[in-house]
Amino acid sequence: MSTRSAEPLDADEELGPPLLDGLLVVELAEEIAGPFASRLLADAGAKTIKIEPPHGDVSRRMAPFAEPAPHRETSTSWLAYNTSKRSVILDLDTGSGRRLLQQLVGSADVFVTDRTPADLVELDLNPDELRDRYPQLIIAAVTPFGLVGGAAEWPSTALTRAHASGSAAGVRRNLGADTGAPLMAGAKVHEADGGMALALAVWSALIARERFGHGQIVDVASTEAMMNMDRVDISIAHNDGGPPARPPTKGGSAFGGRLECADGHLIAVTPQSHQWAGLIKSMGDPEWAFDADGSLIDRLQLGEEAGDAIEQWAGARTRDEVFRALQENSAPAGPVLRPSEVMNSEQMQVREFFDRLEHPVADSARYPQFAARWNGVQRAARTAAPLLGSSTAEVTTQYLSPWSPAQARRAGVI
Amino acid sequence: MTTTTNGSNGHHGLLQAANRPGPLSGKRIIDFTWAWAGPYGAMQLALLGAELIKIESATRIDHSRQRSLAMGSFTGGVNQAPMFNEVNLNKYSIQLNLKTEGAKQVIRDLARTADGAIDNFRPGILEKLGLGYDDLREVNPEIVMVSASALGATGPERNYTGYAPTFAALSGLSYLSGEPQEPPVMMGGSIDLRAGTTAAMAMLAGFHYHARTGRGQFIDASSSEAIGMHIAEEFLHVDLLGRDGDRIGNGHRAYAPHDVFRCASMRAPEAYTDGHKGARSGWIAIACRSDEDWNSLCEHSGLDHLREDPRFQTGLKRWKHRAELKPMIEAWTSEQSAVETAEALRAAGVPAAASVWGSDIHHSENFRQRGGAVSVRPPETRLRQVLPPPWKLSETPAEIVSPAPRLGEDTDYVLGRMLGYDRDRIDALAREGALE
Repeated sequence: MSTRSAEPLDADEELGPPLLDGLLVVELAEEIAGPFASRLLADAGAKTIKIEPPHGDVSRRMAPFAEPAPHRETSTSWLAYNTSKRSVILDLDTGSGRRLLQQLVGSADVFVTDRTPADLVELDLNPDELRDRYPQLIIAAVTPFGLVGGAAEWPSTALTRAHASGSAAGVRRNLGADTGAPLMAGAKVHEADGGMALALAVWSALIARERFGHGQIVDVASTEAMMNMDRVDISIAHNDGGPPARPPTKGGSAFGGRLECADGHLIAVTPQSHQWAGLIKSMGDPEWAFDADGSLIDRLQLGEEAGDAIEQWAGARTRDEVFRALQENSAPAGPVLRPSEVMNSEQMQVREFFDRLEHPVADSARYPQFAARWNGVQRAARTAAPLLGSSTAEVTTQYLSPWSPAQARRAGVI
Repeated sequence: MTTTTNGSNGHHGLLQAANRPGPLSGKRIIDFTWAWAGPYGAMQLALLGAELIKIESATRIDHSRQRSLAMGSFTGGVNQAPMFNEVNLNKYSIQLNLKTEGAKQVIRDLARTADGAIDNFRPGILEKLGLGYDDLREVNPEIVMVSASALGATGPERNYTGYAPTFAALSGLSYLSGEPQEPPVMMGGSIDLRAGTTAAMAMLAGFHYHARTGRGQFIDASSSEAIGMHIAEEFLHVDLLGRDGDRIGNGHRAYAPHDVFRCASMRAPEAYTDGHKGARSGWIAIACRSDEDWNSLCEHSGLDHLREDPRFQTGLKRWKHRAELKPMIEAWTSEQSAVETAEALRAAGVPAAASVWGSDIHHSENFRQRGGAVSVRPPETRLRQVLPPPWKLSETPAEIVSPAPRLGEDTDYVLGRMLGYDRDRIDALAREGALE
């Protein structure tokens, strides 16, 4: 099979086992960053046990919900970041609950947590001690400001983290208006950065373990993960006192801009001369774009009229018309799609970027896959997020042999 | 803070100077990437210890050596571009004109000794050059190759091209970013680095898989899907609520106050003792999750009278009246400095942060306590402080050992020392135009 063919990779004849087949992950984390990281491992085939308090992960109570009324199984935030996991309830306010967690962590390959250093010490999960006790274990922590440093216990939320990292300032600066308020990007993307950095580091630690035979502590400060995404412009601001403000974005300027089409917005970015030529060609080679001897005038030499003409041209067409015209002429562009339009786009459907998962309480829904296809590797079976505590009995029996579920229940642990 | 500069052994000497082996030490990766997304992803692998050999050509210069979408044209030389340095640390650079047969043979020889290859070309470009996965696999069946394109290597839009702002537009993120009453925002370079992170993770998964199964493979990554993957919740919103989510700017669906407020300055004047000139204006982000947070905020801000105001007595009421609340809080913050006020609020248990950028990040105490910036000295420019990687590994720590290479800086080293070509062979390649 050609690797460039449009055939789904699942059609490959000799598929290898799923990426993380046989790996055991234990997660003690809430909200987005930590759960997202372990979801990436779970979706790749790792058996992932999520420890929840008796009242469940905080994100089970985060709006919006599938139904108008809150329900602990139907928060979109909960569902999105907890696929392919098992839920085990442990009451960590009890000594025996903490001992059970200790046992589970001891049998895991990876322990994912978002608890701050003080919390971890209180739970008898001090990372340094864990490393000494379980040399094979990968202790993967994503906390707002890191395990080390004076800010480790600061109170924070997604908003204050996005601003404390420079990430929100980066969004505003990109708009060219340095007097406006710094702006958090949409859809909690900043929070996902911490999860991505952690998962990347866990995969690195797994490779190191295969090679050197030991686990290690992974310390990700989610604010540092966010600031790294803007490392280029932060460096220029710090080292060079720049950058100068963006060129104006009118008319989808040379270096990128937003155009208003008949049915919404579109982004066109044409920094290279052949791309600018492609944009002009899409417009039917208007006279103003060429000088007397018929050669294309550099975009930066043209005045505002060029921007007006481009805006007028785009404004009379749909996003799709402008998108196809520009792309067919090698001018990079993309319509500003609503999430629903992304899901229905032919490109995403042909590539099966979304798969439909069934859930016993929430309706079935389409979930995005990982953004890469590993050729020749069997995809792990994905499942929707677990019901609260649905694997408590199974896991306590399988991993915690000294305790039968009945004993654990009697002790008030589960 | 550590400093790296080119010592007597030159650039490749620096690259071999790491003190401790990394997870990818001894692994060789052919780096065909350019612009921002691919190079940042490849740089993650270099920071983990891999030998990244960046394939460059004067006939087709990585445009991040020349210009950026944010800055426009960069007037310095190709070896001085700050954009390029930030996403190409710890790499080798070899100059090869891939249109020549000699250069293609160099790639095949490299592939024979390599563990991986990464590119962010439009699908089909490397195949046309005879250097696609199928060609590299012929000389090395175990090679792991990641190809990260705008929309992926399959599907009707596989030939479309893009940059960070179009990936964000095509993923749904742009639509959801911005203030509720304003148009969606165009996102910038951070989107590229998110796509690069995704590609790097795909490669690591491939390497891990190879270590366990001995299998090489081709990995098809889409930069637009990479951004979609970061916003999973919004797709569930569509299917489970039957509609798209909304832009909420700095706001929250349930909490108030939850916003960013203008301050008199970033820091108090007496804080500027080291010559660092802080921003004249500053912003503070404040999030109240509960009545307790709200009461603490009122107590510490001198806004005690607001506690008695019937409009603000419950979370729901504050949320409904958040537009009236904002100027009242801003009347107070606009006479304060952001850093010190955030500190005082946090001490009272209220989530708050100064909205920082540039040097204010470098000067933050926590950042310094965690090791701070790393100084590198690119050969044709001055000392620069760069951010460390976004993760810290206790036993196999990343080390930034070298600035980004000059264009073709390691051509002789790669050909002579890594591939064992003799002088005559290298000269013949040069005469053929293969090393341009």
